[in-house]
Amino acid sequence: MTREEVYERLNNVFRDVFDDESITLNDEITADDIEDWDSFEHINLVVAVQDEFSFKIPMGKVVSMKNVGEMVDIILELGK
Amino acid sequence: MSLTSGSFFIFLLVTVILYYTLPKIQKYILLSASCVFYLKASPIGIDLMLVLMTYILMLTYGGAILQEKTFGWKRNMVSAITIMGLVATLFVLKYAFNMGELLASLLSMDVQLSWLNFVPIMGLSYFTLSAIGYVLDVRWQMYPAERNIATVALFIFYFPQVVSGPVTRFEAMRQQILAKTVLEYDNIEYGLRRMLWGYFKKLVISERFAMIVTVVYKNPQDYGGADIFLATLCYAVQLYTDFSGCMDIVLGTSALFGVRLPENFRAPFFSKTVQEFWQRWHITLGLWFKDYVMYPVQISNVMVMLGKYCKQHYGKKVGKKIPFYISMLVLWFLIGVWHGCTAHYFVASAIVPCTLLMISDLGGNWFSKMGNELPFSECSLFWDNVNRLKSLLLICICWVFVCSESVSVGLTCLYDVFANVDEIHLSAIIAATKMGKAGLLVMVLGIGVLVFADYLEDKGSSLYELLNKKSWFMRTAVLYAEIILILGMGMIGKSEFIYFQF
Repeated sequence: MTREEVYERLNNVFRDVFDDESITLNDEITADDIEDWDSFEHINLVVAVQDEFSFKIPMGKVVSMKNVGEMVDIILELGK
Repeated sequence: MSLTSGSFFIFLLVTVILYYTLPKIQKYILLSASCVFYLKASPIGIDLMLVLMTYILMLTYGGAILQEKTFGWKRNMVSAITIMGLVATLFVLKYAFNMGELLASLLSMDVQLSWLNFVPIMGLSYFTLSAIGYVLDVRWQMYPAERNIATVALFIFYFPQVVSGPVTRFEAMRQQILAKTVLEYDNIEYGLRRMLWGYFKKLVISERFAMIVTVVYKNPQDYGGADIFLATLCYAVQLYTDFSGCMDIVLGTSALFGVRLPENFRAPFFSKTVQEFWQRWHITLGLWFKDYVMYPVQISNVMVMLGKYCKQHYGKKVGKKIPFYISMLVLWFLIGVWHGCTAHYFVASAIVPCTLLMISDLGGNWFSKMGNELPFSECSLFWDNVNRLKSLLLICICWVFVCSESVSVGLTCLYDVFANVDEIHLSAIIAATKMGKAGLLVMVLGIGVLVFADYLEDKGSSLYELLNKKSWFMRTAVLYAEIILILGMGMIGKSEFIYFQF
């Protein structure tokens, strides 16, 4: 899986979770940049990502990821 | 050893001098000072306290390392035993007395339970949470287990935070504990100023508002709804200045050693919603429960499956909300239990806030959003202030139950506030406090300074930053004014900090 492929699928996950078709992700995007991305939606997002990529994200990564770039790194690492 | 006692200042001075004159053993100086402070403040015998400290240290230190050395079910077993051991210690030492009394009264037993009469052990609730957080971080492989036992011991028993928190994270503390700190003017100046601000809040503001609260809530049946409402507002000020004042002293003390602890408050009464209030009040406790309780519950297989089931049968929104509300119930139940084993504290710190949050969430914060629909929506400052006032009044429902001696008294007080409103007996209440005109003036002045300080904090600045821009003369004048006010008008030695009991 390439980084671009991850981004394509992740864009769809974000759009679905936040009900916002205008979202286009990049490495620097954080919770501050997406209006509804609070601690509650963060977990919904994690569950949706797990569903999309069919693996479980360890709790340590769930609480420590700081931006979309880190999320993509984690997905690439777990998807190896 | 109280934070407002002379012996604390002597202890602090000696520790700071040793810390900076013996830089090679700074960690051990802080550890020794922490042990001395904790043993001296211990309500139980030193021998028993040493056993308790050793037990908690060995359990945390050993449990974390063993988690790394084991795999599969053995690792799960080690994690479970370590965490259950820490939780059980907290539970037994915090609640044994209440439970013993409760059982004795329920079974009408005529037995002597004085051996169960544990005096609350200072800081137990705070450092146990920090220790559990460390064990879970290692379990989740966020960083390796610490091999140096002195570092772990200092993390758990670091004396400024052992009093009332903040609840700290090992990773953030480790770097600061291990760094060799050189004597810097900035650290000392910031630390002392922050401490002074804390003493001002506690001794000058909090203690005075406490007098009004005590007068009314001692015999609430003698007062009308308006008086109870006034006393509850005063309690909001009392509790905030007491707890945040304590945090200022704690953070200031720690800054003297170059160790910056996390902030526990961010102008909470400037919050526009109740959700925002709880994100700005006792921040480190909220973050701890979010990361170590709420997230794991929400992401558990059961909750994920429940969420999917609800999504399929009742739609996307319900599928999201049901697991969220269940994890909220778990979180607030634990926060309620953490605050104590008495019913009125449980109502105040769990049932009321959880209900307020759920109602607010179910309603989609319609009141806050209404500002956008109103014709004068451009006047956002007005609507922001209306929302701030609304949040304060809603949070005051919690304080009514904290101040009342039981749930039934709390309910009666709440009923009186809404249904039994008559004229306010302000002069009679103030006369009963025996405060005098000077005391009243200090209260008004104090609340003015407090609102201004929080206004700055809400805007992302602080009194400290503002003063730094002023001339040396101005800064010194403010500093001396503060000292004079504390020494002249501070009610020294009147009462302990409220959050010590937790």
